[in-house]
Amino acid sequence: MTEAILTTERLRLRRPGPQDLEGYRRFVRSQRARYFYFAKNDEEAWRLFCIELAHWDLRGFGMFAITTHEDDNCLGLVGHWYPEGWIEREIGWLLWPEAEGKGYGFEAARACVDFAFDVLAWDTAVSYIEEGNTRSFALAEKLGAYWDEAATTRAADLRVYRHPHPSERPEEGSA
Amino acid sequence: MSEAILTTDRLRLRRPTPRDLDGFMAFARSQRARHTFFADSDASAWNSFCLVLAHWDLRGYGLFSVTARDDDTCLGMIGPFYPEGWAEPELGWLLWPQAEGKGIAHEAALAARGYIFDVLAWDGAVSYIGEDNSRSIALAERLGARWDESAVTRSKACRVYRHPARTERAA
Amino acid sequence: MTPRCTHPPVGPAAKAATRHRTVLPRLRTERLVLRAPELTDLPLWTAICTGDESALVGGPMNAQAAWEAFCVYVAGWSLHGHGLWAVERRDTGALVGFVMLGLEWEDLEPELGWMLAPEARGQGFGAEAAMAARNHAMTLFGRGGCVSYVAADNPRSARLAAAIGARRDADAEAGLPDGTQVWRHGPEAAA
Repeated sequence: MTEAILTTERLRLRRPGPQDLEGYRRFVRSQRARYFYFAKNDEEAWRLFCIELAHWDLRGFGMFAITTHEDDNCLGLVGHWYPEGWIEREIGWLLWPEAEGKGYGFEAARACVDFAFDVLAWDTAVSYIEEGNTRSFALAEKLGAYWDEAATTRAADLRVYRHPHPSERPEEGSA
Repeated sequence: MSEAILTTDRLRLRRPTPRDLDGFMAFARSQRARHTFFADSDASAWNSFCLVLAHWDLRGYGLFSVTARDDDTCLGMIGPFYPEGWAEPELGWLLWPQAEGKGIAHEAALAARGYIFDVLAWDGAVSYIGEDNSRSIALAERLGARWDESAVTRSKACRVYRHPARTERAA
Repeated sequence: MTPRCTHPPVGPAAKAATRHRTVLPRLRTERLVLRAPELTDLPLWTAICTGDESALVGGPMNAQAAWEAFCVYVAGWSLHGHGLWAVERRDTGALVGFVMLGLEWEDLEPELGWMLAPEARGQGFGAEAAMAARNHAMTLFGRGGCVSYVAADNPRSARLAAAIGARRDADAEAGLPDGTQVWRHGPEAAA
């Protein structure tokens, strides 16, 4: 269990570790991962997870494992993604099925957007979201991001949602 | 995770770190990369380096970076390699060009093989080598490995060299 | 071809193992975490037990004997309420060694022991981890309830024991062979 780096009201965001492999493997081998990367065997899943882990060593940041405050079970990966060959620095989110429907994605991703601008000093941040992934479109918009149709994208059916600086985020409704 | 260190007459074998990335990328881009398991783009080479680094987190061991004893510059990588999906545990190596011709690979391989048998307690190991990678084939044979034509291989052009099992080696 | 017992579990077995580990006391010091051991820690354990300085930890032994010793110490948590911790740096997550409150076959009392990777020495990690384990031991055994057995030819361990406030116990040493030293741990703060 690695030291928590971010905390939100209900979540801890920490660096992922070997104990999180199993949940990741199950996710990327399932249809739920079709908008992310569907791994056709365990070997692919393992290789992908190696990138999740080592991205932290090579970039100094990466996708956090999110957990509740009650235990250390990883419920998904939310964080910062910029491997070799990526066009722009990305805020990404992967929620395991048992974590959906509770607002965890928004809570963790909001903290990560703020962290990207305030601590990592990014100038801009995007999320690459595949056509048809309406759930993620909604989350991106809730985070204040907008579809940047002019931006260079990694693949034809991949939208680029751009996150404004927190100070320029559209005002949310009253609490 | 530990930085297991092995030392030989001339070399240190340590856990790879991000500072070895540049050498790895240069190697991947070079001719050599034709023979090993990656390298059709910088992105895929970077991803392969992630595999090398994180293998240590997931297995507790992995390819060592080989350096001179008094200089931390990585000259190549060698060691136990057994990612998910490998049919058999491997003694693998990636040799940067500047390490050639001085017996460095052989010296490092002996240390790595000792670690594999004495610390990891493997009974044996294979090396997966491209059929046109004559340098690696020569190293494998010098270590006593023999081409096992009947072994399960990762692709048609990939040969399986089988190292002598622990019990077969001289004391 | 590789000992099955050294392979980390997958699937439901992995979750079961993780559940077992979560009840271990996890200690934090300024620079270190003492946490439940895992199979990925085994290669360093074995390297220390089979390496050049293995005599200092009861060696020389082979990989299988090292594995069995590892298991004895890990079993202690369930059987005795204390056992082996893996020691990690908080900043990098790197494993630097092990600290244990063990009770081996010949031990008369619980023993506080430490094993550091050679490349992790010289930075005070041993003393820092041992002190955390010693303080934890006080909550289990009370003052003076655990010792460290130090071989006569291991001045480095003797220095560490002294540095964390342990005192030689001549009465306990009287019954032991080979000039083995017995350092008894009290709750005194180290310098």
